[in-house]
Amino acid sequence: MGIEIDQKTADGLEMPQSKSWNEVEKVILERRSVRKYKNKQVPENLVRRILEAGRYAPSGGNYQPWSFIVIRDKELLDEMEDSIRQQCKIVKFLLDWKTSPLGPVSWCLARTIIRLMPNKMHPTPFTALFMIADGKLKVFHDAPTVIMLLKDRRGVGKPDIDIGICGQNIILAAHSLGLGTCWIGFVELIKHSPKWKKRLGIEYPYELSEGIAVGYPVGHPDGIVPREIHKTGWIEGGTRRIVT
Amino acid sequence: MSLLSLKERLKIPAYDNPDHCMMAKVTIDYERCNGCGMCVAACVAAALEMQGKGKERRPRMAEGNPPCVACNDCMAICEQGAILATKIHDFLYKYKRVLLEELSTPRDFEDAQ
Repeated sequence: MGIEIDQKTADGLEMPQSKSWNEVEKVILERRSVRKYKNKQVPENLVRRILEAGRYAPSGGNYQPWSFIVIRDKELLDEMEDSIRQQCKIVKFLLDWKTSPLGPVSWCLARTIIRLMPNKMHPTPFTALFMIADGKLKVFHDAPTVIMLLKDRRGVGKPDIDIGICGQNIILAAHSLGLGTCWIGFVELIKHSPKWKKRLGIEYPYELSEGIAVGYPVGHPDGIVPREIHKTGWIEGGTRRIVT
Repeated sequence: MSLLSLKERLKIPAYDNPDHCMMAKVTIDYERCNGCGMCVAACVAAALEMQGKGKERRPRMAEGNPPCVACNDCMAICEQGAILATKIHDFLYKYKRVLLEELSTPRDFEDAQ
């Protein structure tokens, strides 16, 4: 078997040990999201280098519907974080029926919007949004560099998927160079803000899609962890079965 | 036969009800834990908090139903190998997770031929 579990502790906590994966597999399997960064800027050449990995991502019709903005000014990131937190507070005011002064109106509003936006209103990001509003969760995690991924709204086919592939290239390249990264999806909250569009220089056809925090991690956050096994349909020899 | 019944698809779980939103749980081996606090720093969900004073400071899962999603970042950063998500998160009704089994580390299927 791939993994030998040989470390057992007094209360039965089992820790896996990794086997021999090749270099690419290791980069993929050991990458973790990093949310605590050293107060040390990433050299410009490394940031430029990981953007090259993004530039070489596959995309529908080779349209390459992405554009990057690299932000390395702490003041600007702090200001942006405040703006995002402000947006979270507005959403919390409208939709957190437990605390909203709107009372039952807030409950009805939340129930309606959940049906209209089932992904954004999923319990997990919904909770994270309230944590940001309460100041319990940082948006950029004090990362020294943040790469904003912009999407060309005229992209071929499914430009959102292309942005995801491009970002994954950037993140894996960064990890292979010893950098820590974290996807920052909450930048979406300011994508319609005229103030931020102007300050970041975002113009049609581009719109803010995702952010990637980049920096040197504190400690050693990388490693292989257990994940849920997904049931996979397997069609072969005229029959369909489920493999796990 | 479908993965979610019509009733399940239409009904939304109560986000503040632990019976509807069953968050993941971590297990901490206090014989190995040295109280460095890295897991608390790594936790995106603020599901872990330090309790106790001085040398007795140790991480614990926060009270209530902290939004742990079994990302296992705490396990990855722990140099003592003292923490591990042992239960995955799941939701009732509309957001019920399907086609999933228990947690496992990556497999290479070398002996599957």
